[in-house]
Amino acid sequence: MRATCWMGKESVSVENVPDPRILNSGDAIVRITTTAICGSDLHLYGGFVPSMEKGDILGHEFMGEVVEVGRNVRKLKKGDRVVVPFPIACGQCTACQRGLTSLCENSNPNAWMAEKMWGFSPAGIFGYSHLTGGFAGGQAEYARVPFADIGPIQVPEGLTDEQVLFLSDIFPTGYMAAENCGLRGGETVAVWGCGPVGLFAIQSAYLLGAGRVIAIDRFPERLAKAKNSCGADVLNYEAVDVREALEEMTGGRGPDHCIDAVGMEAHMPGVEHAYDRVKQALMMETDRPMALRQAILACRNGGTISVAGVYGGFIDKFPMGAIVNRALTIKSGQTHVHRYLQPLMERIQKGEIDPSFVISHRLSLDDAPEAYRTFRDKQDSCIKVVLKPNASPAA
Amino acid sequence: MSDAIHVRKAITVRRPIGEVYRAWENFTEFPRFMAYLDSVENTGPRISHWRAHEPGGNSLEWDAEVTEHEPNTVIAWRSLEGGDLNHSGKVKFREAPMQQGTEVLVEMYYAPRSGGLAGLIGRLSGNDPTQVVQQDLRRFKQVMELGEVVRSDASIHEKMHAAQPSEEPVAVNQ
Repeated sequence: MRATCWMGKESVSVENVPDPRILNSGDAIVRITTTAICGSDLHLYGGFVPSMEKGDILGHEFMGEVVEVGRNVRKLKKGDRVVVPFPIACGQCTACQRGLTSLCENSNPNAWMAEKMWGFSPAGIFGYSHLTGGFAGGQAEYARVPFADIGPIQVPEGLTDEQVLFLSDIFPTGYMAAENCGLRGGETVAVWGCGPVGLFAIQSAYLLGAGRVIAIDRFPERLAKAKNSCGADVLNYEAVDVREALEEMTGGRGPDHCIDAVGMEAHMPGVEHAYDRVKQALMMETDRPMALRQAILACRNGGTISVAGVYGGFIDKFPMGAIVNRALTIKSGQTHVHRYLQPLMERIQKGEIDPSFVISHRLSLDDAPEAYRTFRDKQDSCIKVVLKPNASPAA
Repeated sequence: MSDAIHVRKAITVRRPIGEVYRAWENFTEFPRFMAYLDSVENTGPRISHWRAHEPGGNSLEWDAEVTEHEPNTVIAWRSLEGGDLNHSGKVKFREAPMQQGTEVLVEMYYAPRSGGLAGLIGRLSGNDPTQVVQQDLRRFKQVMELGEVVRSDASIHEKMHAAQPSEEPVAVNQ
């Protein structure tokens, strides 16, 4: 099959690789109909996530048709049309039983590696380095999906791929980020980052009862999308002083809660390869986590900083004094996608939201190398790229 | 002996204490989750014969006897004279709080038999024998909670491999 493979820093290519096969009795094989490139894939592309190997298949946002099931699969059948959540969850461990599927205790065969970086290991993830298990990703024609009865959700009749694909990651991610603010109704929420996750966070904050959402970015097309598609008030941080603007807009109080949908800057310098160096403290030359620091300082006393953006290692100059002295709460985590699939699918069916609004580019799998560059550089008003394995490549 | 390795590791398994205890009583199943262990046979009351291999292919064999066993509390064994490895193990069991299952605390001891040999586990794992024991425990947890060891496209290979499908046979215990 053809698959988008990481070949080195800033190098991806679509290669011919063997088709996936059943490795565990609960697996299914999915023929992928639509997939996407995530903002966090750009960290892999940029060489900033350790433990990548040449040939790793990328991609963790994918959906398609079940073509084969393992002998212990009971719910899914060949022919079912499914969206696959990006964290891999066994369903049986204590974390999964508590609904914390991105913390599955069993699904990372390389747990030892993650432990060295983070203390304990989270769940395995599709296509996201050997730190999270070395699972092949879904920017490909087929994917092997472990725990097929636990993860994938069937797509109801009448919904297109583009309407449901983002249940795999970015819609639940934005939703969980908003949910983590603990909204009671009427609050003002500020969102740093108007990329796809930020846009879903804005939408979700309104769905969850926020009175006002203020969105911060610098790219005109992203600010326009936040304003026109999501109803946010927007601030361009290259044009205004964000903290001053936020204070003025909130009567001097600050936003009640703040969402960081920016995360580790894409030009965060590389870290040493985890296989060799994981036991040492990672001496990362850090870029200043501008959005996070600003969110902390800008937040109203007693508020929550909800961190959706991906961070990998360590940051410096962290305003711990602000956290302690002003009773701020930090909430974060990789999304527990599984618990949001059904409720958010229902919202899509009811027409409360059409997630396809974030899509700016529709390309074929073979366009992936070009697409990574376009997405990274935000050229051509790029916001979100979806890839179809069977489409013809762009001219 | 300076090459001796003493490892203590704990894991919580979401299964009842009786089931977990019986799994550790059943030495013949250990190769399902213990790295480099090929087989364990019961050869008499309290006596068993163990076979393992090093990555390079060298095989090792030894006999062991059960030294302690108290249901749902502890099971312990040690190797007998004359084998390739000096090894003992002790496993303690405790109910975990909040209905989370069973806490398993494992102590493993390995020492080389003849001079000049690095301990089996030490050599296999580089500098971190704790890691091998911990991986064994993780695989034990998977076997108990899921019925099989969880595999990824990369982990099925003994050596480093890209995260993509392959047609090679799956390595044992991977």
